[in-house]
Amino acid sequence: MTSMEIWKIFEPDNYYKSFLEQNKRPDGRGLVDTRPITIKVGTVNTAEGSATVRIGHTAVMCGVKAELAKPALRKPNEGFIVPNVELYPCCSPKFKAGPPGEKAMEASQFIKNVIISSKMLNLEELCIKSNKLAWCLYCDVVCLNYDGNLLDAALVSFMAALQNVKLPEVTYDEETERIHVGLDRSIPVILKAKPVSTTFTLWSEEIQLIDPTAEDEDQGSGEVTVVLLEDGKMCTINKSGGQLITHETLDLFVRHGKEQIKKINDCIERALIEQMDAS
Amino acid sequence: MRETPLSTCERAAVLAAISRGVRLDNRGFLEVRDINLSFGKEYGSCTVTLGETRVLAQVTCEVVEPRPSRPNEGKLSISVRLSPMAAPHFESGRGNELMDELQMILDRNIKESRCLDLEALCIMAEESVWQLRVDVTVLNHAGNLGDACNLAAVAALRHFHRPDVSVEEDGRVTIHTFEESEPIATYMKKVPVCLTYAFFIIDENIHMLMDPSEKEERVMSGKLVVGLNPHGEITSLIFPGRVLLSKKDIMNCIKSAFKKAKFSAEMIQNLVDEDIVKRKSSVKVDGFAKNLISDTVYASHMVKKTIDKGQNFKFQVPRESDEENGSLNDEMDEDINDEESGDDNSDAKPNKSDILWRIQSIRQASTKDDDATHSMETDGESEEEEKKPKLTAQDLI
Amino acid sequence: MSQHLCEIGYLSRSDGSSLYCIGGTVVLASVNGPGDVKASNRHYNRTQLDVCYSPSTGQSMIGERALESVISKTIEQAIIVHLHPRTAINVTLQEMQSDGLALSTSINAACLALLDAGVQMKSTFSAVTCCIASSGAIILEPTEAEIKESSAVVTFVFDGLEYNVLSAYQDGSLDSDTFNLCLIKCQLAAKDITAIFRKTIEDKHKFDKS
Repeated sequence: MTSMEIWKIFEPDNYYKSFLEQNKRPDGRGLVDTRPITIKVGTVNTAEGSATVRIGHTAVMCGVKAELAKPALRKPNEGFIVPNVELYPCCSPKFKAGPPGEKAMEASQFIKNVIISSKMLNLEELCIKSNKLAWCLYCDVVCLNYDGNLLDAALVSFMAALQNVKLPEVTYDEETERIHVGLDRSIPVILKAKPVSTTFTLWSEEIQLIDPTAEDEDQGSGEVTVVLLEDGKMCTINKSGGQLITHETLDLFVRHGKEQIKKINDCIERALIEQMDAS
Repeated sequence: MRETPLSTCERAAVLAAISRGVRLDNRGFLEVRDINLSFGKEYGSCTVTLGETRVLAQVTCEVVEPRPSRPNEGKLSISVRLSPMAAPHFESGRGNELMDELQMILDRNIKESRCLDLEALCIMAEESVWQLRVDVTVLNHAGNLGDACNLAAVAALRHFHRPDVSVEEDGRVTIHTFEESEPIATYMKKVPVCLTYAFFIIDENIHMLMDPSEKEERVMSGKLVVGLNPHGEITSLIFPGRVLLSKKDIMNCIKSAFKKAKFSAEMIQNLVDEDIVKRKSSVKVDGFAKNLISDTVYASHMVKKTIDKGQNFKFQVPRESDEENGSLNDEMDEDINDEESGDDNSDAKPNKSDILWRIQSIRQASTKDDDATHSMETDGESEEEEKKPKLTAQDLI
Repeated sequence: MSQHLCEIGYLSRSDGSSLYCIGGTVVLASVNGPGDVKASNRHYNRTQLDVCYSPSTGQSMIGERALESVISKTIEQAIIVHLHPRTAINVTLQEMQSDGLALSTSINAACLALLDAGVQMKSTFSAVTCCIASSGAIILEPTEAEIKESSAVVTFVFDGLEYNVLSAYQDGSLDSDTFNLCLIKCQLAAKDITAIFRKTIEDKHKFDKS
């Protein structure tokens, strides 16, 4: 064991602090540098749409499964979209088996909020026959390896998987009430907005770290997630508790977030084209 | 968190008082604490206070498929929740014995007694019916939760109005908003009432109390919970043992319960109807925001009431225990001082900001409430109490 | 601003309790502790904070659990958790009547209940919600109907000293200029709410002393 590793075990706080004093993080990044991101779509054959995303060591997979269902009584012209994030013990010893924990639920709710507030989907387009038949998209996000920044990774994989979805053609015969499902999957889901999220960990009043690793998250006090649309409009801000921040810091986060929009969306675009070429 | 233990001297004080014919809160043995109902902004939301015991009941509805065995009946479900809010030793999301008991009382009294016309909740046989869901949440546990929960659930159900629906030819159900079409009231055939009697065995004498407070509940030897309605039907009877009663005593209990049930049922009906009439005539409903009275204010209100009852208030304690008597009165005096000085303060505080100070409005409400609080005590009962305040061992033989 | 009504010492069995109403939203909060805690939740260096939020109707679903975690993280930052190691503080919130402002009313109710219970805090905290109407106007403390019509809803929680942002929660899209305007407006309103807290607590202690 090197002396560095021993130091880390005995004085984790000082070890970490000594890096920040040099404006660096233990993994060699500066405070405003993000980790490399790789996206691959169509990784699950059985799902209607899927994507695997890696941000540094964080790996997340999203599969979209489409099922036919009867629309809700109160909204007879709308289909459903059900996002769900799962954190199994295999991705990090932090998580336990059993019903979803606080972090997983928070992430599920986060994606749900983004869907609603960005208005990316017109649920009426998912309806096949009013009051009779509609698509229900189950979007399951599974974390394969947890190394911080779950929300960003989950949203990128969710967006990529959704753009990868191809639904079969369905016809509904009103007289016989028979459903006919076409053989080839060809119809994409039309997205009206492509939100991108950026997460920061707050360490002190002056120091904030973009794209935190699990270590950054443990050392810091609270995260802020900013979700922006392509045109730079704000879609969701999520800061629950943690270090107090000023008005100016919040502004700074939005500016950093804007830089990410094009980068991430281009990345998804490239992955989609790559997959199309391959098939 | 653990339950605060009841000290031996507290226990002794409760028992000593009862054996001498008084209760710690200066009630008669068959006197029920003040009952207060207030209704929320929505239909079917109601809080009940029974002294300091406080229960919230809320009714919601949903269109569901009926049970195949009863294709033309609506559904009714009742759930009771005890959170750490009620008392620190309850755990949220985890059931306990008390919760199971309350659930049983409500299920038997309201659901299984079929006091609600479930067939009226049918929209289309075998296709769709209304499901009513009653959520009963205990907010403050100061004894006798059974009566309070039952009262809250019944009042909320009676107060509830469901939206109107129309069924199209293809079996499609459209739910109309309250603006589009008049809401429909729930029809309750019989009003179920629940009454709790606590029994204390002191020196082989059995004493009977109505509406036990939390302290009394922890000391009591046994209890009898009767669910009944004013039409002369018993809907449930819980007698967990632990104390032996003769047939005659139980019959006496039930007889006196029927008398009270009539009064209680009428009170619920009147209060609910009064609120609904008010709701229909006026445009704006205040809801809970201005109608709830806190326990702090209630406690001082009770002290004031005791003073107003007349200076002749005295503990009926035999001569030989003068010492104890004196100390009790001293305590009382202190309370009175607290109250008076407190009042001065709130009057001296002018209210200038646009924010209405809750304390003040409550204070006014509580003075007005003096007449409006509904006490179940009647003259007949206090007579009865004087004649036969306790059941003795002789009665049992 | 909507009418704020509040009262402390609401429940006799809780260490601290408060009822807080903003417009038509009414939340009852109760605080118990610091008290004992079972071994699995015991921390050697700090208090365990348990927050339980129940909506006015129906069971608590995933949305309510998410709300619960926002409230819990907000409170945790304000309480001095290292003061009472190996203990737990229970905060229970019950929405009595809903009119769109569940989050901000709950947080304000929790703050008053904590003050009533005498739990040591770094500072008070107050929450303000505003929404952007379709006309572009900012409505402070909207009703549920106004929220449904709006394009975005923002809730801020500020501390009681510098009025910095403790929590922020936004839904619906808006540009950053409007967002900044919302923040400034809410910051001003937060000062009024802190004044309400102060007055309520002052009244309580005047009552106690004599």
